[in-house]
Amino acid sequence: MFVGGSARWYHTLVVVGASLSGCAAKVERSSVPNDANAGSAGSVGGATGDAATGAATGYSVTNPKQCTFDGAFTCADYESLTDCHCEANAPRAPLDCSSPFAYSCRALNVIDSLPDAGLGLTTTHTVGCHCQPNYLTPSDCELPTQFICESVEYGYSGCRCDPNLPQSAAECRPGEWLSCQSDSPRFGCHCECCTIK
Amino acid sequence: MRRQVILPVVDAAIDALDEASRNTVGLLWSVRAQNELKTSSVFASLYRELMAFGAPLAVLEMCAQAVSDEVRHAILCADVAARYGGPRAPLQAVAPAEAPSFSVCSAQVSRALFAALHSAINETLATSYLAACLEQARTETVSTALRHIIEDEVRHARIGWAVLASDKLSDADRRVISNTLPSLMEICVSAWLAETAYDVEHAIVPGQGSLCQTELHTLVEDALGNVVIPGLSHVRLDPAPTQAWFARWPRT
Repeated sequence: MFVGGSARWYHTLVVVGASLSGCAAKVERSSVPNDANAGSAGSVGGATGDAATGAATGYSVTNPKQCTFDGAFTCADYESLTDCHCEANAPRAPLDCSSPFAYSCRALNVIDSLPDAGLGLTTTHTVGCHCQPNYLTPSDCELPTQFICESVEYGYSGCRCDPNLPQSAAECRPGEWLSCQSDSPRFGCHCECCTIK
Repeated sequence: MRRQVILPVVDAAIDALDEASRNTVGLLWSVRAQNELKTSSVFASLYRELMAFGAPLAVLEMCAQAVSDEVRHAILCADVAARYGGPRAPLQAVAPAEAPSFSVCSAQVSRALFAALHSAINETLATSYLAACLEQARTETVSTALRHIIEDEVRHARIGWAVLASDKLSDADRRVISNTLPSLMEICVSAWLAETAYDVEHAIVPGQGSLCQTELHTLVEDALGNVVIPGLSHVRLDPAPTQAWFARWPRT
């Protein structure tokens, strides 16, 4: 029996693995609820495990793998995957925007089916990356520590200044602890408690 | 424990094997169980190194998960061994694994090489190997176990590729890593091919979760040529030294 066909693993292992070193490496995982437009994970199923097909731009696509990088996959609606295309000018990293805080993406769950192996792997792709024209940074707030975002996991989205944010653990109630979206610079701090769901 | 796997209670394909074959396969899965436990220990060591490396939280989470994944694999492999009729082989205690030492490297490069060796290269080979075994599997028990393990191995391999793609590595670091990779390939591939010394000694029973040496050699060649080496360019490493090593590698 022929043994081979390892190439089918290239995208699943190398490309997806390498992408894990992409967005938001220096910020804490947010426990702040995401809004409907950012950071939440929609899903798309039935994609194949094939390697990315190259620079597809300007025409309708249905899967992030059809774009040169996941962040270029852009849709009018991510729940129904309406009007999706590969955005040629999408930023690859926060530094591609005028400020890292302008960089915003969202999550999309993709089911990679590998029919030969009878496997279905759900992986989260960072898609819809763009530079927000209007964005806030910590320095826009009266105190940088008053800066907080709805989501910092896939770029920055829903950021605002909130003068009521706790500044130290001493402001949290007994049983709570101070959790921050970023420690350097320090912002997005809020009191968290352990809940059993 | 993240996931449970339910092996078939009855597997006629196993029952149809003669006793000698069942013993051979059972022993093979017992050895695999012990190896999985050792791998758990290595991931525990890698986790500490990746913490020092400054790996993203998502990667640390995957590495921490891998520690328990491999323990679960060990238990699963021991269960498979038992299904082949032999007594459940007790898993032996495993000495804590130490991070390998790469004397010519900075600490950061050393950590990346550890991730490259153990995760990017080894787990990529493991994924390809187990997938090939799955395609040949003739019993539901083996198929179920392999499918379960592969799904985890995919994530384990991604850890290494994530580290190699990291901006925590400078251009100078990348040059050192690129030049060291042939040695890592040699170590890893030799270990994989040496594993089959056991298989050759104990005749392979087709379709029970292992490959014969010829198939394994082909598999390793295929995985190196089509996944690992192309992947080096993707993570901004120079593939040339490894390509030169690969060109000298004996073909099947």
